[in-house]
Amino acid sequence: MLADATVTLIFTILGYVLGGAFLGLTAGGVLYSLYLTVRMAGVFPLGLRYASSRIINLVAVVGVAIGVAAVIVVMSVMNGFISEQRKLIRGSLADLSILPAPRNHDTDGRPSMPGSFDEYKKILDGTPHVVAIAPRFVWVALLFPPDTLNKFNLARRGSDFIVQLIGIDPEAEKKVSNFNSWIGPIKENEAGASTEERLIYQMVNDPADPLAKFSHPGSISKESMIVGVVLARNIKLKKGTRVEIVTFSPQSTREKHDTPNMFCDIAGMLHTQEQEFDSHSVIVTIPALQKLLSEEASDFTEIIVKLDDYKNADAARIEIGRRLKAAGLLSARGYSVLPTDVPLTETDLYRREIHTWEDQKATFLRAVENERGILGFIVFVVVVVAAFIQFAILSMMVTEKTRDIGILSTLGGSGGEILAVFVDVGLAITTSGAALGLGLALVVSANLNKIDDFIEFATGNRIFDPDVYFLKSIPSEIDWIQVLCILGLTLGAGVLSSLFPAWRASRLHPARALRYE
Amino acid sequence: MPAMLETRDVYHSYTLGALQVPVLKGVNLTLNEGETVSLVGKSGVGKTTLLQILGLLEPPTSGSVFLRGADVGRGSRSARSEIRRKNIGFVFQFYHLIRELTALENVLLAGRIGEPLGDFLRKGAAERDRARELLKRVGLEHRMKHRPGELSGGELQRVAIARAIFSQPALLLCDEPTGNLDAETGASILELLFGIQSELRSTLLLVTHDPELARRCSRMVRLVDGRVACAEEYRNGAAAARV
Ligand SMILES: Nc1ncnc2c1ncn2[C@@H]1O[C@H](COP(=O)(O)OP(=O)(O)O)[C@@H](O)[C@H]1O
Ligand SMILES: [Mg+2]
Repeated sequence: MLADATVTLIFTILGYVLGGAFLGLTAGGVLYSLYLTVRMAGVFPLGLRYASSRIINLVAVVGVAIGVAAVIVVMSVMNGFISEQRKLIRGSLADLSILPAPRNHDTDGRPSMPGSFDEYKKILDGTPHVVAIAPRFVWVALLFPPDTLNKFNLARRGSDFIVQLIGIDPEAEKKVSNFNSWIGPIKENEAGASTEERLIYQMVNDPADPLAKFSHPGSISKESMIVGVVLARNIKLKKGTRVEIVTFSPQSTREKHDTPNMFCDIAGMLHTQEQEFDSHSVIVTIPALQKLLSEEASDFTEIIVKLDDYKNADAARIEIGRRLKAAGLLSARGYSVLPTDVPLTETDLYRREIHTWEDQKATFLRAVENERGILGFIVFVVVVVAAFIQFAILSMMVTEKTRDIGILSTLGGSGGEILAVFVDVGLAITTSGAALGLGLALVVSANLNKIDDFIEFATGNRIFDPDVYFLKSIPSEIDWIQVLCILGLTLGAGVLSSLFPAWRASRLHPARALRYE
Repeated sequence: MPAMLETRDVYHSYTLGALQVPVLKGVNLTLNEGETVSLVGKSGVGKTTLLQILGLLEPPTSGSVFLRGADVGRGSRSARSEIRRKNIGFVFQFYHLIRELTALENVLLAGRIGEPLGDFLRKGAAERDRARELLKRVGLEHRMKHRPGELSGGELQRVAIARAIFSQPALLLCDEPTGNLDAETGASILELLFGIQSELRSTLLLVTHDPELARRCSRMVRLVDGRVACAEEYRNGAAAARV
């Protein structure tokens, strides 16, 4: 693992150093070439003619086009994957989560939240960027489905039965999270939904009041709960099943563990596409949970926040932190991820109690970004190879055109014109290659799935197996800034690789060039 | 009025490895404005070398070249190129056309060298017209779109002549322009060259092996062992006087 990290680091540093040097040279080379092209515009048609009249140049154009197209397509698919992955990673997380540090209750030493949800709501409702908030009471519990009376079986697959018991206020929840779609029907092409899941999936009776008690023939109605769809599959739950929940109460002490239980009826299932959430979550109402835990002092453990725009997450965190701290609703005992002698920023003060969704998934996101970094290195290699091909082709061409270089001299051409002719050739090859490649990339990435279907039809194998990636189709997202960068790099590499042969041409001795056979 | 072109003690030697091969050993030559001069001599004596020095393609090892009194033989490469572009036209034995370009484009190229984008856009059409005119003048109005591979030797040389006179050069340097053509075609090319020379009133230096041809010039210069051995003057194709 360490070795992996080191290799990644070395590649990254190498990438930056080479990339920096390359970018500097490239920018200079491109500007100089454009200057030459404009200054010596008269010989541009000759350069074009040279470029278009040799088969090998067409090969180079096709080569550049294929390289560019491959890079753009791979990058786009990668972008698609990364954003799908980000969605998967983000899963059920709200923009911000506020988790105030609990306080020890003044009189009896029991922990409780620093204030009621209403006190927080009063402050948060007027805070900039905050669009909606919802309380959650998150607890942990053990599920006892009716057919796991054999406790040995339960113990063997213990982690399947340990769940996060999430108390929600359905009305508020719907305004912050995607709760409505989580309890809605599973779409045909939804990522991660196997046929089996669609079959066992059953929606709540009344999406408007999803946790309403419902009558159970022959027995008294119990509290309702909604379980994650994967959890239901794992431990074989169905809509209507009555399940026992066992937990411990916040009032438990070392001397005496209080382990309350309650029976709940499954009202329906929920699917967020986040494996972790769907396999370990049970949703109940906050009052039901409070009753189970005999908890009156606290009516939430965290608050989820929807922002006007996730871009404002950092500003919102600071604003929320300030206001809650002023009201005594946040401990604001900050911590820094940096060494202790680095002064804390205001963000550091609130970081522990107010998370952005990216904070919570930082490790995953870093891993995803690393993939991008390595891909960048691959692009670099492709560009360098393309540049080498161009270099070789132009060098050959300069030798072949030695006599022409002499002719240009007799017509009054000096180094600049000759340089310009060959730079024009390079520009013509790279720009047409890049343009062709861009077109190809657009066509291919728009039709990736058709192409994959065709390959399956022709060879019987799929390049892309959706089951492996939890995706129904190949994702592809063209990022135009990225495309511009790729095109710019290609142009730069093409220009750089043609500058040297062109320079060599311009240094040829005109009189000797004329005698060249 | 200074001479069109003058050389003073031009020495030139080629370096072959560690060896210095002297070719020109003190050439003093004067070409006057509007004059037609033939340059004769044995093969390998250095005629082409001298022509390249006169055409500022190559600086002499030592000695000076004056163009209208200005010492230009050893200026910077770009300075020499500039002078060449404005004042000198070349015609070669092997035509030296660019095979990727059509006849018209080959002629046009002479006007396009050194042209920045602004001029290119502004003068492009006019230059194209001029190239057409010139091709018409050399009798190739029906061959404008042909590439060198599709033209005969005589036609190629006509294109080369049209290209050489694109900028109305004061000096025309021709290196055995008929050396690769049959007698009849060669004669018609010469007709053309002399006709153009008299229209432009440019100075013409003609390297040739052919004594008949040399006699058509107003003066003949013979190169022997790297020096100008003798210069003979003719008038109207007939030998008139010795200098
Ligand atoms: N680039 C060169 N390197 C070495 N020797 C050369 C070179 N060019 C010409 N020569 C030699 O210089 C001499 C003169 O050549 P040239 O000027 O072509 O003669 P001419 O045109 O009179 O036949 C010849 O002996 C030739 O071999
Ligand atoms: Mg010769």
